[in-house]
Order: sequence, then structure tokens, then C-alpha cells
Amino acid sequence: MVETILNLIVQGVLIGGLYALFALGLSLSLGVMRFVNIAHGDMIVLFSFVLLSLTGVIGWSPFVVALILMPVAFGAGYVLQRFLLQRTVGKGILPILLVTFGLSIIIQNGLLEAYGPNTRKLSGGPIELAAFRVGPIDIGVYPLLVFLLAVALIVGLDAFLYRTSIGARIRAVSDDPAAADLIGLASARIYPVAMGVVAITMLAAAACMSVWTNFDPAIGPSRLLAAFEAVVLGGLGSLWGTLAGGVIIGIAQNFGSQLDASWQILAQHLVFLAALVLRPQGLFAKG
Amino acid sequence: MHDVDLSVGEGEIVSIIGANGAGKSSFLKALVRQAGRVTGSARFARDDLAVLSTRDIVAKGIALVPEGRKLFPSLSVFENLRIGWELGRKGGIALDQVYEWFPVLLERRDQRTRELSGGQQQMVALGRALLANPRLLLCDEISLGLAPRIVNELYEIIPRVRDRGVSVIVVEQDITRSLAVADRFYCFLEGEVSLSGRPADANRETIMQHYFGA
Repeated sequence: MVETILNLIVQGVLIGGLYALFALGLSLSLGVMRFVNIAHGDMIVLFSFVLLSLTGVIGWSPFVVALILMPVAFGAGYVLQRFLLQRTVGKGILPILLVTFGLSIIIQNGLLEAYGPNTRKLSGGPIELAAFRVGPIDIGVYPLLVFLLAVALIVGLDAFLYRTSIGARIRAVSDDPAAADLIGLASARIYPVAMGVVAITMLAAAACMSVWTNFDPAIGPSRLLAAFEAVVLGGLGSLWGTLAGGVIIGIAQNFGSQLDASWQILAQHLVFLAALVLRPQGLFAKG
Repeated sequence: MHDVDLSVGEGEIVSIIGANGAGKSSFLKALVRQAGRVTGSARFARDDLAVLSTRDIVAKGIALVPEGRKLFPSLSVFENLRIGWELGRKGGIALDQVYEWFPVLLERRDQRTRELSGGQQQMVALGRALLANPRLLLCDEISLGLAPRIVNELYEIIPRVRDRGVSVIVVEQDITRSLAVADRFYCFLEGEVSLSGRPADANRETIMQHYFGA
């Protein structure tokens, strides 16, 4: 009994790392740039398909390909913000919702057209099945590495946002875009950099997720929902909070599915709703 | 605003006075191209400001202390100041100098500016603009809502900045304060210059007439 519970928790924590990785970019855009990117999940799925195509052609590991593609992802995020999303900044919450909602539909249908509706998965090699035993619990090497990657990315992003001068500029524009413009800190030049960084986290999430589990062109929105819950649970603006949120969701899912397979997602949403009632500002909200 | 003709010499302190809505703030914002559509010409040394972006204008040496301070509240004192330094011209005013002028900012350098008092926030705003090493400093209502003692402290800095060859435009509703520090003044009334000259040459009566309109 104790073993089962312990195992559910450990596996939940590990899958929480994957959710956190998926939600990191959303945490940044929601918490720092203060906008809701409805296309967040779809953009990650788009990266997954890009990796699928490239690994298919070159035959390299998706992790290596993702590493090489990092600058491309940064550039894509930069351009997307600079020439499309930036036009909605300072115009209220509706335009950005509509634009990213449209983007979501375009990506889903574009992928459906190009790849068909089939479910895909990337191969990560032998590491996928490797595991070791700690006491009574089996720990997968791959889930552990993904969790550690999520932690490393959070440490890196935290340092980027709170220790570097460009990070301070991003937070300054997030505080008050009009004030930034007044003193010559053009918001239109800062946010694209932030979105470039968001896109890098998306690419990392795409690589890890599509080796871990299946994906298809229409799966973005359901993944987005889990990411939203992780971000809101943890508290807006806190990257460590997002990790905690991901872990809570992972554990809730595991316990739910233990009761009944159909309870997995329901348990996730119930825990989310309960947390929202008890602590609406999130666990680690930054003031 | 219309028909405003205003000049500032090197190392000169010029005061713009006028009632609420006279166009003082809009004029300063227009100088850094943050006031929407403006016609007319603004020259700064050899540069035509109308073709430059705010960022370039700041880099050429015009820095604004905006009305209402406009700090970045979640950033520390140090981070706010550093942004001014990074965006500006490189020159003689460095962080040490600002900390020397406002020692309290050194004590609170790691505190978020939202936690500071109004006076301390205004010091950060002035410091941020000074760190841009401007050749022309624009001060918009720096006394607003502050205790007289703090205002004195802030205004003591203006002549010292001028001694470094910096020109200053001071916008104030507080006439006495503003004229005391200025070499010349302009009085705005409903978007026009209603009176200008040297503080010593104008008597109080005349200024009041042009301040409120007769």
C-alpha cells in the first residue's frame, strides 16, 4: 500500500517535470509579457512535426536535432512577436486572444493538410526504456532526465530574467510599456527577444514530449489546458511555481487513474478547481 | 498646442510654468517624440528631432524625468537606474555620482521601487534620467505631491547638473520654486507662450496675469 502510494507520487513528480517543461513558455508569456497565447500548445506540436520530418530525413536523434534548431526557434519566436503579436500589445486582452486563436487554427489545419490525422511518436533510442530501481520503486532514466532538464531550464530562465540586464528590460516593459517608451526603452524591441526565448522552451518541450508520448495535429489545445492549469496553480510570474503546478497535476492524474482509468483527467481538473478556490493567486505568486 | 517658439542655451536652466492643461507636459513629450502627431521643428545641436526615434533622441542626449515618475515598480532601485545608464549617452555621471547625490538610494539599491516613498521614487526617476548623461534634461513636475524638504533636496541637484554643462528645462506648477532656479522662463497659457523673459525682470503681478489669463 505504502509502496503503491510512494510509486504514484514519484511517477507523478516525474511526469510533472514534463508538464512544467510544456508550460514554461506559457508561464513566461502569461506571467511576464502578460498575454495569453492560445496557440501555445499548437506551436509545440508544430515543432514536434518539424522534428519528425528532420529526424526522418537525417536520421539523427531528435534531441540532437532540437539542440541544433535552438537558434531557428529563437528566430521564429522573435519574428512572430515582432511582426504579428506586437501589433496587439497595449490594445487590451481581446486582440491577442483572437490573433493567437486564429494562429492555433491555422497551425492545426496546416499540419493536418501536410501530415494527415495519424498519431505519431519520435524515437528517443534505448534511453526510453532504461530504468533503475530505488528500493521498491522503478525510476525511468528518461523521465528523470526530462525532470532535470525542466529544473535546469527554470534555473537558467530565472537567471536570465533576474540577473541579466536584458532580463531587467523585459521585466521593465512588462511593468509599464508606456513608461518604457517614454524613456527610450522601446517595448517593440524587447518583447520579440522574450518571445524568442519562449520559442526555445517550446522546442525543448516538443522534443521531450514527442519522445515521451504520442502526438497528432489536433492535440495542441488539450495539452494547452494542462499547461494553463500548471501555470495558474503555481502562480503567475513564478517559474518554480509552474514546476510545482506541473508536479501537482502529475500526482493528481496518477492517483485519479489508480481509482479508475477514466478518472485521470477528472482528478487533474478537480485538484485544479480546489486549488483555485483555496488559493486563487496560485501557490507561488509574485506580488 | 500651437505657435510655441522656445530655445535653451547650453548650460542654461529654463523654466516652463503654466496652469494645468496649459500644454507643458505635452511640450516635453513632443521633444522626445512621445506626443503623437506634431508639426513644427525641433533642433538639438545639429540634429532634427522630428526624424529620430525616442531611443535615438535619448542616446543623443535628451533625457526626460516623466510626470508621475513612471518607474518600473517591480524592478530594484539599481535595475531602474541601470536602464537609464544603458540607454543613454556614455559620460561623466555614473552610478557612484547618483548615489553620492542621493545616499538613500545606495541604502535601498536592492529594494523594489514600489516599496519606496514618493520622494525616494522621484530620486530614482531623476537619477535614472541623469545616468543617461543628458546634454538636455527635461524635468516634468518633479515636486508633485512631495514634502517641501524633499523637493528642496531634489532641486539642489539641478544647479549642480548645470555646472557640468547640462541644459535643463524645468516644468512646474509651483511658480516660486521654478523661477528661483531658472535663468529664463516661459509661461504657457492654453497651449501658447503668453510670457517669457528673465525671472528678475518680471514682476509677480504680470506673471500671474499671464499664468491664469487676464
